[in-house]
Amino acid sequence: MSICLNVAEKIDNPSALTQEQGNIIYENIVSAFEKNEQIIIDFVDVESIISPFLNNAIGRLYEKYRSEEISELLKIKNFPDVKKSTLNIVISNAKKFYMNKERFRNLAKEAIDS
Amino acid sequence: MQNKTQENNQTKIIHITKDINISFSAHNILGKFAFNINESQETNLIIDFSNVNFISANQFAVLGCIMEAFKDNNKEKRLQIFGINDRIKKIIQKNGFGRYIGLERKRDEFNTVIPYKVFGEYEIVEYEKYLTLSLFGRDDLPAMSDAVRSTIQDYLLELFKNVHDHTTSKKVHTCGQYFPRSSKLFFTIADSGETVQHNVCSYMGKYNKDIPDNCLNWALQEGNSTREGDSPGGLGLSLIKSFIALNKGEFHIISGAECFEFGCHGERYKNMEYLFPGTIVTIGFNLNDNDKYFLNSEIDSDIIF
Repeated sequence: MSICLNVAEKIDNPSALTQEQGNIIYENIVSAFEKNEQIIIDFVDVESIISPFLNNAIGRLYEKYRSEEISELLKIKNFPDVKKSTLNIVISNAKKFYMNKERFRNLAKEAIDS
Repeated sequence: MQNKTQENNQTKIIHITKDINISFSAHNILGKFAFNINESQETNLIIDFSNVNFISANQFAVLGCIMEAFKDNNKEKRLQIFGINDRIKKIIQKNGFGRYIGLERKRDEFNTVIPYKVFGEYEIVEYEKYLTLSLFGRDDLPAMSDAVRSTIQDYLLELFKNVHDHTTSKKVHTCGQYFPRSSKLFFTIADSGETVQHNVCSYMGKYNKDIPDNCLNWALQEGNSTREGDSPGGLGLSLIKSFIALNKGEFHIISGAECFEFGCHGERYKNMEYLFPGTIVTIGFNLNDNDKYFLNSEIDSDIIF
């Protein structure tokens, strides 16, 4: 079973611009992931998409989930071709961000333990 | 010295003696202008533009930013503008900047002027409407596909969001100018909030990290951000820079004492003679044959999780 989420309807706006709007989408994705359900996020009717929105809607997923899990459960529909490179940069930046965070956490733990 | 001053006890005249285009020296003139008015002790300040023949319309965002910040911080002082030539007057009567010198607004019959606007920090939706109606609704821009227009609009939205996320400035000043001969659309956003250098130094100090030699350079690298929080960021400026490289456009950032310029001749970082009390970002979009090159080279076929 899969859930379809219309982004424009969910954020009540044709412009996906802010971290707060991104968080709304993120919460819906996580809720589906927790039930192991596939979720399709549909960008039909979305006119503007910028990185702060994508960082929070998609980038944040990499804190809790691996690429394979995200790839299996998250499907993206009607995403504009011209914005795909931006989304790919957001994804690779998020992977680096959480990897560095994890590394920092481990170093801090080692320092405290020693 | 670009700006000369004459003083008596109550009145100071600040002469701006050079044209204000989009060059490094023009940004120094603006920096010096900000310095002169902010350091003045006099109650009446007269800004003399009688030796200025040309002001690139996008730079009204910067002039407006300097003057509004001054007025907000010096409510008891008077600021007057003097000696604006007829050609510049005509433009500012149409773009709305004329209100600073009490000029009546004139209708822009041919819809060729990008209005000077001041937005509150949270007014990104209003700003987006302004871009749609006042910038992309102009009659004199070359025909663009929806994809090109939407891509340019998104980068201008990134710029606004960047001000909101990184400064406590309450106002965002914007203005633009289209140059038909070069097919370049210049658009400027200016704010009087914390500079990039200030934010980077505070951030590095907080986390006990080394302060980079050039804070602007650090802020332009993909993934570098001073924004606190659990979500990734730090992409706005690097995305814009990559786009401008594809677009063969121009990109100028002036923040505090630092300046970055990027264009067809490469990139350079310079120090300002007078620090600008805030941040100016100017993008020069090349609207000539956009469809042909940048879209094809920019498209990724798949999303890679």
